Amino acid sequence: MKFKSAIFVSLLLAAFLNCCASTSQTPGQTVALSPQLYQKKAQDLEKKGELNDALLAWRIAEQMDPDSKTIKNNIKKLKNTIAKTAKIHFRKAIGAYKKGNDALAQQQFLITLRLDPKNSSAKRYLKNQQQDKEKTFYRVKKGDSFSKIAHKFYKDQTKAHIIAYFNDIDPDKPLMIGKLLIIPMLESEHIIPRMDIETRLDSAQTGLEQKQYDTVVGQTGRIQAQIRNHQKAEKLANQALYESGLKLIQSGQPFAALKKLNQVSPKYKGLDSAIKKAKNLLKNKDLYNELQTAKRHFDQKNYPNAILITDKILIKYPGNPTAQSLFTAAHYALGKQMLDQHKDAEAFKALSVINPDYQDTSHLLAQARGRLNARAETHYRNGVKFFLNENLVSAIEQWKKVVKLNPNHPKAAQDIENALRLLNKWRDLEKKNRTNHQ
Amino acid sequence: MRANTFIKTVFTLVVLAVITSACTGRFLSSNEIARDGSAYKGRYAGIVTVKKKDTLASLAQTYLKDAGKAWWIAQYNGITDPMPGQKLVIPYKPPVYGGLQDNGYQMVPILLYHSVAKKPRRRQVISIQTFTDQMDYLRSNGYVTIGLDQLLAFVNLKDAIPARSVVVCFDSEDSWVYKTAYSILKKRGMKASVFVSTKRINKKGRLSWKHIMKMAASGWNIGSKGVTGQNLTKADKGETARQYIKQLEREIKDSKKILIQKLKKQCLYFAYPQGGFNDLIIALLKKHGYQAGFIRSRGSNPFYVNNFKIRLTRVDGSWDKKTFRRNLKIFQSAELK
Repeated sequence: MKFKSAIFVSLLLAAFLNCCASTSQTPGQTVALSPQLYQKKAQDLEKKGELNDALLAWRIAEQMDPDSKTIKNNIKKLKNTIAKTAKIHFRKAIGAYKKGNDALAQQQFLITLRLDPKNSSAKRYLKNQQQDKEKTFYRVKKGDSFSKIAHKFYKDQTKAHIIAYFNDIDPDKPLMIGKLLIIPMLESEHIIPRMDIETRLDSAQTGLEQKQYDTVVGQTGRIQAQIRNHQKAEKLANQALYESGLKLIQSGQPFAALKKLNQVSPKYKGLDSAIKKAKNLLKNKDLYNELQTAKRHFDQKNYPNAILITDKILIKYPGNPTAQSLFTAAHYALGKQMLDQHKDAEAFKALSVINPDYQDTSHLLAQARGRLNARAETHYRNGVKFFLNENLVSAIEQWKKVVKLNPNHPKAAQDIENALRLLNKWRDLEKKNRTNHQ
Repeated sequence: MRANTFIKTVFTLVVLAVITSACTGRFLSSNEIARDGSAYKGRYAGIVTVKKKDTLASLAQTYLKDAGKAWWIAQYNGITDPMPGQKLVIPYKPPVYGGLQDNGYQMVPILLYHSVAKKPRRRQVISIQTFTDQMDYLRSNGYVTIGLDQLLAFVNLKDAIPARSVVVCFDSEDSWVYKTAYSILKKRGMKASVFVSTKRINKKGRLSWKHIMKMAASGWNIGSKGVTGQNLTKADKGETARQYIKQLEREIKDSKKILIQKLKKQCLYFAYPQGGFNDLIIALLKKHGYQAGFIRSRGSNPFYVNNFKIRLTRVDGSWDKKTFRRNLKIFQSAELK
């Protein structure tokens, strides 16, 4: 008996200790998770306006303390607040949308979804907002079906399912009256005809004849994308790349030339020598040095020298873009410089060489022309004065200056001719008088 | 004798009653959580005491049925690694969707790498070095690569994603996707997605189905780019409208069929070849069960982007570091109080 009770008591003790052992605090815990902690968290989040985060915190608190009536009440209250606030913002959003105030509508829809992510209308409005401007809408009436609507808009009933799927509706289910449908655009203007291979080859061939190498490379590239190792396309591409490579060598652009030549098939006729040429050109520092010298002259405002050098380069390497742009810039700068020094004829000469569309060249040319014409006019008037005073020699001198300044002067050339005729007449008369007197 | 045993039983019963009431009182006390001493699965969240063998991933697998949700446990509890003995709260669902806050909302950039090569011949091609640098930049600056499944849940407001989520994807069938990009990403624990035109697989210099299956098995999403990869807004010469629609349905339906067959997985994502899309194509995609369409348009995506006009930002080889960073917009400020 005693033994039995001893076992019994010890068992009881063991059970007692066991069940209560788990109440001890585990080591390494920094903050004890407790419903109070999460309650406080929830209240703080609510104050900050993060309502859904607060609701989650409340629910976790409830899990930890399922009997607390306060927690349950708070949850109920918060759920109501969230639902109510979401509704208010949703109504605001719809109002703004109807008035066409897109920015306000978007803002209010976003706030709605922040509170109630399940509001599918808000989601749908936001997702479709981009396309609303350009789309055709149709509101379903009594007796409508997708086939009927398809016939109405496309004259083709078989496109019914397209309207249905576009609107995320099952075409086999009944159509709701009053539903607003977006009618997808199916006009053929939106379908672009695709170029077939034959057309592309023609285009590439023409491009090659007209030396429009980029077109050739573009079209053959597209053919190759569809059909690898297309023989004809490859042939045309090779030729285009080879020829444009040669052209670049000629204009003194070895780096760009090599870029093109390296894309040509290795066995292409003449490729090796072309590449050799380009590499030699690359090594040849002469062109580079010349360009540097020309640039230096330009920077030091020594434009005539810059022009001299770039002109030489362009003769050797026609079309070299660096030389060409420096050539143009130097002429422009020289023209301006001459204008400043009132050397209008030189300015005009310099500016006439370049494209009048380069910066304000045409304006400067007009300026130079204007000045020259003005000076010509002065000389013309002087000439007239001399003429009236019967000083024909001086008159002719002045008028010759006019022609020099303004070759297109309407009167000067004629006047010179008249004056010369008159002068000769007088000289003849004088001769006669002299001989008569002797 | 009988009285003795009677008293004894009453005594033990009383003692038992006291013990159990004391203990059960403690079980139900508001300070205690554990039932079996380590874990509790409530209605909205699991509450766990971390054991030595637990990792964020294993906890995510147990409580959220998805090891990939480790980030959520870390984010909600404000930790980076779990410590044994620590108590963690694991909510099953995020409180807010779409990354919506009172001062703005989340945006997800989708970086499209069309061509990566050792020695780029054209300006648009990205060098392997640049690609590696960009991936390293993402990783060391806390960006997390997510898959298209996660992106879809985000835009449908069905789930949350890490705050600094980015999608990396490819739309080329060339073998470098597997041989180069996949290995670079794998080494860094990053994942990506690929869009393929099914007819172009298993050709010389291209990806093989084996490659694609390997990538899919490691967590990559595989999307469709049609069968031939031709621009679907263009019709062949002499094709009638009816033939055009038939051709479209073939491209859309058959590519999906092949991908499902090979990967034994749903095919929900479609990248419009060369970015060409129109209403008809969108309607047909919806008809054939796709859930998202991707267009070529620079910019990040908020959750409310139209599911069939999700923007892909094509990374260009000429971008410098500044430009790359500018295209990583992950938040849009807005007054949303």
